[in-house]
Amino acid sequence: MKIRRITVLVLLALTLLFFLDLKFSGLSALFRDPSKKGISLEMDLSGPNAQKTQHFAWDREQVSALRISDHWGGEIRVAGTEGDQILIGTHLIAKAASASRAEQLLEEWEVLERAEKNQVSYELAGQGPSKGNLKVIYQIQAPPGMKLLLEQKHGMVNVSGWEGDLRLEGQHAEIFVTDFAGSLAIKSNFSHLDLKNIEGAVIVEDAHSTLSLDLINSAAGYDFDLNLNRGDLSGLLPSSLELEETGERKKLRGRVGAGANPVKIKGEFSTLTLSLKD
Amino acid sequence: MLPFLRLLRKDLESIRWPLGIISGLSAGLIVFLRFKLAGGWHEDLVGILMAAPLMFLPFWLFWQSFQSLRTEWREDTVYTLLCLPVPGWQLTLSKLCTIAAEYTVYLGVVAAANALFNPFAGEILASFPASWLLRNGFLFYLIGLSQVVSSVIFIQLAFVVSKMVGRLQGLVSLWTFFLAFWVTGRMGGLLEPLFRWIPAVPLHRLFRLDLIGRPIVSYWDAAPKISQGLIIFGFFWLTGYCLENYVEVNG
Repeated sequence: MKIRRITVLVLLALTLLFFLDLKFSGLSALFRDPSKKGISLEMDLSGPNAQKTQHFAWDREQVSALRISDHWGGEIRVAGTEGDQILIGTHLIAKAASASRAEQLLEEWEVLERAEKNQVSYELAGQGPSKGNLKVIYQIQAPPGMKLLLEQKHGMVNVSGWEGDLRLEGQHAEIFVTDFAGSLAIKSNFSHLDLKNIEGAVIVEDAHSTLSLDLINSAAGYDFDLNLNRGDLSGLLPSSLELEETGERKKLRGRVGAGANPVKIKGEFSTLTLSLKD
Repeated sequence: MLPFLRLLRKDLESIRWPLGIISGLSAGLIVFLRFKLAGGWHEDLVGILMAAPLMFLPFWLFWQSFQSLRTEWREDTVYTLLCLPVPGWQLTLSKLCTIAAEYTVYLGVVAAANALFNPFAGEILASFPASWLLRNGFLFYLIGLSQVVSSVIFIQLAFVVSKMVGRLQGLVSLWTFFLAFWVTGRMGGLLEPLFRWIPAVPLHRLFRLDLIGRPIVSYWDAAPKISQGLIIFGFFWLTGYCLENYVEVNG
């Protein structure tokens, strides 16, 4: 009888701990397997490889929107420029068992340019099942005020010191946006987003990502509308914002300053760290 | 050692018929579908249906691991079992090995039948070197086996704890199974820093991705899994200890 009581007590104690854990950590954190996060994946560029560089340039007057799509572990790097030209440099790297095969891959694949109305698009195009052996690095210098549409899967996006309308789509991607002003719209899942020194409207639709948003406070102010389902929210939150928690849902609403810039974030299983600097 | 081997033999004999029937049915289904493919069934549908027995595998194994302990109580053989000169952990280990054998045989039969008759499997097999497929097939088999083993340990723990409580055994069993998963995740997370010194496992070398021309570098941080493995081993020991010392035979 004694062991029966002990067993029941242990089960009750564990059940109590479980519910406390559920209350303070949320359901999403309870069964998160940390071992699944510990897998890194990148392209090995040691050994035989071949490389090719292409350059494209457009006058700002000709193009109002630029679209870059990368679907296999490449990099998209964007920097602002004071000039009137949009400069796009692409660096295509092919890796194969031999140097001749790598050279052959470069002949079969290239970064394709398409121009439609005022929009120019770039993406990798070619034949054969060897896309996994190719990596593209896009280096873009963009004047302020235009529209940039960047799509990345499994790779990296780095936008630094730019002003304009930025739309990002990321899956399993690493996204870094630094010193940005303008309008930022992101759709992401299973990604890591680091948004630093951002001034302007921010709209994010996310699932299963970690997102760090560091906003610069300005006279225009911000109008917050954050909605997280089964996610975590932390950071330095202004006292004028109201946090409402209902079960697995967290809502953060309110205005800072004039509230002219909307900050609308919708997340499922997302981990969000928010800060607002003066 | 000899008593354990006898015990293992008894457990293996008890699964002979169910395993034979289920493996035969699965292989028969795959052969039947192959004929249907020749008869005009859509290739995609046949390919998916041929892989269906693999989806059934985890449910079958979980059921068998629960059933292997329940049968001892239902047929009153538990008295004899606990009188044997073997420690409790050997009793649970014997059942664990039996489930591992079931997993191996069933997976082997379904994989072989798919390799022979599934048109999709044939295409995949033809596009990779045989030695690479064998090596990685074996590695995936081991990964699957480790998942099966940990799940069976949770089921055994849940069953033994339910027998110790005596009442509402089905409910207690389910809740203990659930709690075991939670404790493993949480305790594993706490112990993980102790194993951070272990170097990351180079997956690209382990799976020899260079042999198939995939220029990928991938590392796996094994520390969380090692800490979880220790917790699961602790559960295995606890189950054997409780079975040997505290379980209620007529519960």
